[in-house]
Amino acid sequence: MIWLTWRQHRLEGLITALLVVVVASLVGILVVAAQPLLDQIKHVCPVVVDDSCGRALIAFNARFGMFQQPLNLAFLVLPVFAGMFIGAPLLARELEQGTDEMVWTQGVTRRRWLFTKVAILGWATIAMAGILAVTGRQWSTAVPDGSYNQWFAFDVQGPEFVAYALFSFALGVAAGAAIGRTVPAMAVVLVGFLAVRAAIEIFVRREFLPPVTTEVSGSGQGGQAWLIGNQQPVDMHGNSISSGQFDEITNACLHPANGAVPGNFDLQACWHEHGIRVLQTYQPAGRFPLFQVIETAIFVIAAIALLGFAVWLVRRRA
Amino acid sequence: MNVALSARGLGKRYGNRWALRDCSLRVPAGRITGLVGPNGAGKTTLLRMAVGLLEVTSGEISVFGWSPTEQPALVLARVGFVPQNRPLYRGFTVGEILQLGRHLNARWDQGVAVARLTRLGIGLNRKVAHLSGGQHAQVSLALALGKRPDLLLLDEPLSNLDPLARREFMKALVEVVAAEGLSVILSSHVVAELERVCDHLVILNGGHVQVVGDIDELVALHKLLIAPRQDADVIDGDATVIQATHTDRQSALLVKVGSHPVRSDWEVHDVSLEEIVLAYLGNPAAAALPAPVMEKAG
Repeated sequence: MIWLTWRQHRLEGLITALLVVVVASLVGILVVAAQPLLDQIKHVCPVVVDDSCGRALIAFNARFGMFQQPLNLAFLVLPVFAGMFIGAPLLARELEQGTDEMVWTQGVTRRRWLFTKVAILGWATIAMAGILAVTGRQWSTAVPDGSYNQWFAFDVQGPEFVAYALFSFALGVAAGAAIGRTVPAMAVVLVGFLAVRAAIEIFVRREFLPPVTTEVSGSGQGGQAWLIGNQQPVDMHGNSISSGQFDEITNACLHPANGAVPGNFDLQACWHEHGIRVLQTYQPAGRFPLFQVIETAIFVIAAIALLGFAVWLVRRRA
Repeated sequence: MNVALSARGLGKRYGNRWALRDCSLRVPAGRITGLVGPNGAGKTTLLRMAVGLLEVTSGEISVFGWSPTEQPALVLARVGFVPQNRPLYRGFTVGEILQLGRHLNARWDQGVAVARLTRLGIGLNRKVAHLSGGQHAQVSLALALGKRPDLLLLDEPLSNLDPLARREFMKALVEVVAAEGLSVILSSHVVAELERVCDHLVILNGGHVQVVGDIDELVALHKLLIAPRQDADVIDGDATVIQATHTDRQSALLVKVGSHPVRSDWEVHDVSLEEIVLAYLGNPAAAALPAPVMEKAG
C-alpha cells in the first residue's frame, strides 16, 4: 500500500513538497536577511534614550514591511494545494477511471485501502504544513513588537496552519468521494476552503470568547490587543452620541479657551468633565494562544467529520 | 458437488428497479461456467456482488462459503476479478501493474505472471496506455491470475477485442484452468464464443435465473421437433415446448424432452447450445433449473 500510494501520488506530492521547500527557504532567507536589523532593534529599543529605536523600526518596516502582505496571502492559499492536488484525486480519480473496481478487488479490503491511503497522505500533509508553520512562526516572532499587531499573523505560525491544511485535504477527499470526478472536486476545495477560512476569520473568530469593552484611556489600548470596531463615544448613561458632538468636545479639550494645554493634560479626564466616555471593544492580547487552540480545534474537528463522511460514502457505494 | 459460488433468493435493487431478483443458483467448483443473458440481465450485478463491490438488497450470496461483504478479506484473497472495462492505471507500466498485484496480494506469484506476459511478448516496461486492446486484456488477466485465485470472475472478457485477440485470450484462459484447476465464471452476451470453453451454463434473463446446468446435459436434453404444419403446439408425452415456430408448411418446436419418447411423426433433430440459449431468452417464462436449487430457493 505504501508503494502504491507513493506511485500514484508521487507527482503531486513532489510538486507540493517542492513548493513547501521554496516557500520555507524564502521565509528563511528573509529571517536571515533581517537578522542584523532585528538584533539592532532588540539591542536599542529596551533602552529608549533617543529616537534610534524608532529609526530602526522605520528602517525595518521600509525594508521588510512589504513582505508581510504577500507572505500572509501565500500562507492563506498554500493549504488549498493539499486539498486540490492530494485530497481530491485520492478517490475521485479512481471512481472517474473505474479503477476502484480493480484496486478494491485485490487482496486488500476497500476499508484498509482507504484508511492506509488517508493515513499516509494525511500525515504527509501534516508534515509539510508543519514545516511551513515553523518557518511562519520564525518570521512572525522575529518581527519586533510594535512593528505590527500579533493578530495580524494569527494564521501563519502555529497549529492552526497545520489544521487548515488537514481540513483542505479532508475536504478534497470528501468532495472526491461525493462527486466522483477530479476537476469538480478540486473546484469544490478551492471555493469551499477559501469560503470557510474567510467566514471564520471575518465573522466567527472574534466571537470565540465574548469580547471585552472598556473605556479608552488617553494612552490607548496597548498594541497587542485585537480591537473590534471603532471607538464608541457615549454619554454617562451609555447612550451613544453623534460624532459631530464628540469632535466638538475633543476639540474643546485640545484647544481650551484659555489657550494653554496643561503639562499634565489628561484627555480622558477632560471627556469626563464634558460628560462623555469613549468605549472600545476588543479581545485582550493574552487570549491569543487560546484563540489559536480554538481555531485549530474547529478545523481539525471539521477535517475528521469530512473524512468520516468520505468513509461513509465509500462504504455506501457497495 | 463442491460449490464455488452460491446464491439464495439473491436480489439487488437500484432505486425501484430490480436488477436481479430472487436468484438461486450454485456454481460448481473446478469448472468453467458461462453466464449468459441479454444486456441488462443482471450478469454484471451478480459478479459485482460476488466480489463485494455491491451489497445485496435481499437474499444472500457466498463464495466458498464466505460472504463477500462480511468477510471481504477471506473472499478477496481467493477471488480474481476482471471487471467489464478491464480498468488499469494508464500511467503505470506493465511491470508496475504486477508490482501493484505483488504489494496487495498475499499469495502473489510474480514468476508465473512475468512468464505469462513474456511468453505473449508483452514487455514489462511498456506503458499501459500504449497497449493494444488484446494486450491490455492479457495484462488484466495476468493481474487477476497472479494472486493465484481459486475462483476467477471475468465480466464480458471478450468485449472490444478483435477475433484474434479473443482466440488468444480464450486459449490463455483454457491453459490456466487446465494447469491450475481453478473455477471460472465468465459472462457474455455472445453464446458462440462460450460454447468452446465452458462446461457449465447459467442463463440470466430480466434479473431472473432461467437455466442452470452442464452444457452436455442441456444439449442432450433439448431437441428440435419438425413436422408438417400443426395448428397447436401439442405434442404427446411430457416434453416442454420452449419455442415454437410455424411456417405455412411446417412447424418446428424446440423442446426440453421428458422421460417419455416423442411421438413418431415428429422428426427429431439435435440443437446447438446457441439455439437453446436463444430459445430460452425468447421465452422468459420457460426455465430449466436443477431440482435441488429450486427446493433451497423456497
